[in-house]
Amino acid sequence: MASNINKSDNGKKSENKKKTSRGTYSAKQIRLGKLSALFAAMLVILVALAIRLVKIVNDNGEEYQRIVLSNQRYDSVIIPFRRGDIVDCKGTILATSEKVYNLVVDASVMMTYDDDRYLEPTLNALSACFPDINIAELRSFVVNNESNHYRILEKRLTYGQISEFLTMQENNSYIRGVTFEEEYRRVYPMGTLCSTVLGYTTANNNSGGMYGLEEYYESVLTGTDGREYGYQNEDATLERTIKPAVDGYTIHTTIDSTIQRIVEDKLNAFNETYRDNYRAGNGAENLGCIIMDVNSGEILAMADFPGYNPADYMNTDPLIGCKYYEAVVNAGGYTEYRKTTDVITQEMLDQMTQDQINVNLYNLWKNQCISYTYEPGSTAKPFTVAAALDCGAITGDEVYTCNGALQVSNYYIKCHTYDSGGDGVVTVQDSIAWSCNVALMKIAQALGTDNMCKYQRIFNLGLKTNIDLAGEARTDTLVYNPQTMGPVDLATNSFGQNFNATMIQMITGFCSLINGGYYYEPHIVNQITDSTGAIIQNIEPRVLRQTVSESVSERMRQYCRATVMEEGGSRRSGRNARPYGYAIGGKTGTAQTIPRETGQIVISFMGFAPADDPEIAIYVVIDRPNFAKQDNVKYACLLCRDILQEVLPYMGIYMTEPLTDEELKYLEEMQLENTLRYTQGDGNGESGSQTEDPYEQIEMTQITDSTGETANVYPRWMSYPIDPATGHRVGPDGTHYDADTGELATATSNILDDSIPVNDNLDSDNYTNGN
Amino acid sequence: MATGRNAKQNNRSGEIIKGNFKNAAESISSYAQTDIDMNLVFIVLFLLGFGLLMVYSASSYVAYRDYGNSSYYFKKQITSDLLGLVCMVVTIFIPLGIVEKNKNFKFLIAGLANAVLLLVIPFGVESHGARRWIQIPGIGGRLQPAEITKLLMIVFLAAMINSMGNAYISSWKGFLFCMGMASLSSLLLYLLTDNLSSALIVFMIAFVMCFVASQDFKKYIFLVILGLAAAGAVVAYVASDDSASEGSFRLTRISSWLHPENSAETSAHQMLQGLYAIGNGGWFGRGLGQSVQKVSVLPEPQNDMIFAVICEELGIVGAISLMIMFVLLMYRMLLIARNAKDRFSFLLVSGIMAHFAIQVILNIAVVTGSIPNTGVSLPFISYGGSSALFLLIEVGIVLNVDRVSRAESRER
Repeated sequence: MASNINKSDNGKKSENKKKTSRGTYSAKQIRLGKLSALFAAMLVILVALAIRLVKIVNDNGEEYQRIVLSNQRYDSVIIPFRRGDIVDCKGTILATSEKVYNLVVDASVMMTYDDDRYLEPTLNALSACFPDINIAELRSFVVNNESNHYRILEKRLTYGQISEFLTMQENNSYIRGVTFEEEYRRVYPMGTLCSTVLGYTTANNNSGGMYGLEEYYESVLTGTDGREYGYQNEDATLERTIKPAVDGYTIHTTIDSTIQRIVEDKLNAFNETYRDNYRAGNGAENLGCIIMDVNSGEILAMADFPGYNPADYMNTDPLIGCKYYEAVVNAGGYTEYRKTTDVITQEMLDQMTQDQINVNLYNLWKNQCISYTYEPGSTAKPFTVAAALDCGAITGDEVYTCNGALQVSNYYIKCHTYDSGGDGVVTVQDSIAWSCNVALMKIAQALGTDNMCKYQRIFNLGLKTNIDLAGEARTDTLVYNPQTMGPVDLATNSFGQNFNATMIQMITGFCSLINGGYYYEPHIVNQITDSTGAIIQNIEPRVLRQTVSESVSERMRQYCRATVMEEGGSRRSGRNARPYGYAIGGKTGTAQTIPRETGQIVISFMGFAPADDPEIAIYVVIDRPNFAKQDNVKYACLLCRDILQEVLPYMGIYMTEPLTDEELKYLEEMQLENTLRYTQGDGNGESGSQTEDPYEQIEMTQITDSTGETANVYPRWMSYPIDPATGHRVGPDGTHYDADTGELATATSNILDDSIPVNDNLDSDNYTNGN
Repeated sequence: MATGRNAKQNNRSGEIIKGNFKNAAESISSYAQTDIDMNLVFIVLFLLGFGLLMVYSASSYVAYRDYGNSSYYFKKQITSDLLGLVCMVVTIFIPLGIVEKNKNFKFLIAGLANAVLLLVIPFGVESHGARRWIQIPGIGGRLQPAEITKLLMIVFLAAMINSMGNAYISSWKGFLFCMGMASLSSLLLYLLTDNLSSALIVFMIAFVMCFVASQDFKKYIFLVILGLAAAGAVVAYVASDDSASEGSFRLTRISSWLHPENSAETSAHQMLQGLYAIGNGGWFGRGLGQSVQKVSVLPEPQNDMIFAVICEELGIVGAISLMIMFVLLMYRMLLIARNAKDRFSFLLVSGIMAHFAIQVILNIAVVTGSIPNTGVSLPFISYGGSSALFLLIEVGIVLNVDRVSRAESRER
């Protein structure tokens, strides 16, 4: 280029030289000539520049065109979809998504003018509306990063928080460089209610559902992000085209939040009452309750304790009082989470690493009603009896004799009445109403291993129920099959020991026993609608199979009613479960856990109401209650009664039984208490003021509890010889004593000797992640 | 030898111009039919209209992004264009002779030219790292005093040189006095407004006006060669040593011009993006409004880099057409200068013509990457109210000179 200028200048000069050397031109002519020469020079330079333009296009045109195309950025904004709601059967919102705003500053816009005409008003408005923002820091950021277009200052502000600023922005055109990016936040309006059923969401709170419904229905709840494109149309004006986001679908659950609330309140009250009662920690290691519609498999309530707040799922407060889990790499190389005997305290939490906390949170987030497996105990007795009746192994008219124990192979398996000499003469109905192990073992022997295993599958034991919740446990290795089941296993299985099940398996099977034999697939969602409310899918109740015949089912209703109601006689095990004014049926359960001899018990009650025409089934499980003597099934019955006492009137089920004066007085007090709680209390529905044991308020007719007492430890066990086969000391009456502790390990309700073979896989307290 | 051949050709072209002039003089009656040069008026109006169109095209996206109004810059530009046209018409009828009535009046103008620059100290407004604007109280508009200085210096130098006489201006003494006065303004421009390009333009205009007025030429050849050699030496110095340019942003600009790919500086980025735009436009362009580069990668595409947008949208064909339009503008000014009734008017028009020519050449040279980025706007095309206003006043002065010379030839 320099050479071009040079050349043209030379030309200009030389021209003038010629003229002046002749000396014939006037001053004016020289002036005009010089101006013309200048014009010519300008022309030459412009031609040179034009040549340069042509050269650029010819030499680099294609390359530059490519660069431009690859640099091309279309200004586009993602419009987030809205995650679908989760509502209960009445339309009450359990989980919803709320639009929130991220505050974004554009430093380059604020610094458009050097006189700070935008900067100062914008900063002033920001400091007035958002006290959290460090204005001094922001000012130095903006001044030092003039080319910065994007910095998120505040996250997840609600519309209420930003509306003041928006008004100011509208009224003052000098407030610039602040934009609000839309996002959604997952909100759980009911707090901890239903937490383990719902699960929670992680990424942006818009996708990434974890556990429960949020995980199971992830693809239904999530939608598709939209996009806003900016481009220039043919008229060179900026066009914005919006491809709207497709919002996620709303799922309608069968959960009734009122029933759910009653259940959770009662579980919390139980925990409050028995926390630190005998040992440090919660009222029980696990508390679970499921209420189900017997005629459709719909879950009306499903709760476990402790719950957590899905909106604040990393909060460790609910862990306090739980047993501490530690991560252990087992022989197979898998990480296993093992329950320890330690109880988590605040001090422990402060010292735990995040990994350790996470291990325990995994356990907290799990829905114990579907993922916790345990030996169900006597609640399995109706299944055994129904199987025997259905396949014709027994007629129902049999009468058994219970002497307190039964010899099976080399083992001496006791009834809970062993110490009082046995139940004596037991009918089939009594075997359930009194929960007689010996009668059940005899029924199971009549049934045989093949039929036992067959019916366990029919009742779905060992199989997943396929409930529409994430995290249901596999139990296929926790039950026997005809090849592996020996006579001892058959005997122990008959009263619910030595195989594991989940709560949802038990109650779903139980529903089929009492509803005429129809096994409904349990489900929690019955409708899916889109964001406009249009129905996308109706999920109808699904009968999977007929488990037992209608007539067997009728008998089971009768037997279960006898367990609770007067016709079961004075030894009926479930009498405490009856809500005043109602007739219900049910079955108690008191199951030993492994290791057997430690007296760790799972007590439970499984029932249905009303007794004659069942509408709902309820299952309450208290895993290792915080009592000195854990084998008192009364507490499970009372918990069940307390729940039903409020749920049945709410469901519009009328009382059919006469009320005594005491009962009437109790109901009136309860009514008053509930009224006061919601009218005068602090409004949060807590009943924390009640410190007395609610179960001791009513005078009970004290009858010796069917679940027996712990046997005395006889000092003389030390003198008995050790049986080489079992490693136990065996007394002259054939009783086995633990060789080390001398405990009569069989002294609880299901009196299982430690030596009775156990399915190796039964180790319910430990789990591997993702189970 | 090459010089000799060039000289011959140029001599011939000089004769052709003379011939044209003779023809024009012969048809003097038809020439005097109209009061003003409608050709020039048409060219100016065309450039203004085209400039508005391109300002709108180049700025609509940026304006929408920053102000929510795609015609933000367009509206401001059309306002100052209309104001400038009014001022232009008024200027046509101002008797220019008053400048020469009083001997000292020209010095008042020179003083004024420098005084407006001093206004940035109390009334200056900072933008893009330099105090180049003064806020006009009451109106709310802003003016670039550099534009006033350019105009006033042209008027002053024309009067000054005219008062000197041919012999004096041809001497070193007269030349150095005029250049000294111009340098003073240039220095003030550079120091007070940090505006090197305007300082250079004032200096170059003064140089060209002295050249045109003087009977001498040897020293101009010498000075031009000297100037080019000095510029070449600076460039060579920067090119030889990478660390040489550190610390001075002028030298950094030279360095980034030499190696735009390596430079993180925004001016180099701007220049590269301008080249990409030219390449992307090709021969016939992407079509009006179809520039991709103006969307965010070219910062302020409506300003100094508007020629790049023109190249991208209208291609080389459109860009050269625009350059031809500028040549025509210059040609009309040349004709008017030749017909000027006196030396003062001639010098005025020459200075104005030089002003246009210098800005057009520098702007296009920057966009094509031929010289380092200096920040010169393209007359009538680039966005800028002050520039448009004072350039139109300059056109008014040219038309004024034309009007007077036509009136005189009619009288004769």
